[in-house]
Amino acid sequence: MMKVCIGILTAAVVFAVFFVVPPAEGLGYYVRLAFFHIPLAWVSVLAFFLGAWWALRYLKSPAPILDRRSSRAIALGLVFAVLATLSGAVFSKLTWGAYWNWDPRQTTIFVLLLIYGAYLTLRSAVRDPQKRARSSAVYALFSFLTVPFLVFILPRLYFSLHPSPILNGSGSIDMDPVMLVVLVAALVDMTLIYLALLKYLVARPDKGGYLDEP
Amino acid sequence: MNRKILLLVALIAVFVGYAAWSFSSSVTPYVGIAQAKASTSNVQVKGLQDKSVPAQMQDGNFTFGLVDEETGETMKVRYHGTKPDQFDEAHHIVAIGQYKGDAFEANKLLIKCPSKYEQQK
Repeated sequence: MMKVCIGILTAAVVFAVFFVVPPAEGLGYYVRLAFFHIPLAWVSVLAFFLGAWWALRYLKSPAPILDRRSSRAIALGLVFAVLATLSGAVFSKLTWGAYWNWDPRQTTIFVLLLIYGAYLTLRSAVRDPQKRARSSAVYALFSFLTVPFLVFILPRLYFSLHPSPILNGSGSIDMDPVMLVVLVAALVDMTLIYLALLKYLVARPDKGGYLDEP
Repeated sequence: MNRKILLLVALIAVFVGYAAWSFSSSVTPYVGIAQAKASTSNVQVKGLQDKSVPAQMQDGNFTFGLVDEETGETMKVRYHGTKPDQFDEAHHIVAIGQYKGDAFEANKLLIKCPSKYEQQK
């Protein structure tokens, strides 16, 4: 049932992005990429938050299921973060004129990818399941402390070629109403896709085995 | 117990502060015009277009004026290429290259567009 809903919503979003969204001022039809790039970035932040949340719950009362949820949330979040980075690189080639320029936005996402890449390394380095779960939980919790700093604060302190987020400093929304509706639908859709994939990974012990075995 | 937690929090705060401080110097590649003029190696200089100087093709190069947003300092930029498509709509311009003699010799221009996500008129 859920799968059908997600399928229909995804089809509707893709259709809207290609046939309903008007060309944007300055960006033209490149704006289409934003409806994938922004949701991917949002889901990454959500994923790292969920990973930290379940890690905290694990530390309070250790249960293997919480470790499974936390590790899957983060591993899947890393995939979304990589996709957000790649779509961002294509976006920046089209608008700024270079795939990669070590812009503050790019530097901070790169550091974030390293931090969560190290999480996977940590998991594969500890043999004892309980020790692995415990140290991974502590790491997941601490690494999430850097997320608001790297994603929301640092890039705003410096000049960046990256446009200011949709919700700008003054709290107003600089977006055409049609685009805004499509963006909200795309955000909901991407979040549901992530949660459905996460549920699948957590429910199947045979999936993502490398997260549990050194 | 409470003192231990307090100590831990203080330790984390110091660590985060130190990390932020040591990281901030390498977080941005962009420099101002004064620094670009003084530098002897390749830099990325940011600025706005100086509209008082004509932007034109000259001997196969695209030349224009760049003005520093903070200091108001200006310099001439000679870009080894043709005018980028989005140059006229540019909000900020980043020129990559080196200052030589009378102008900044740029190999690459990056354009920041004013992305407002408004419908094209």
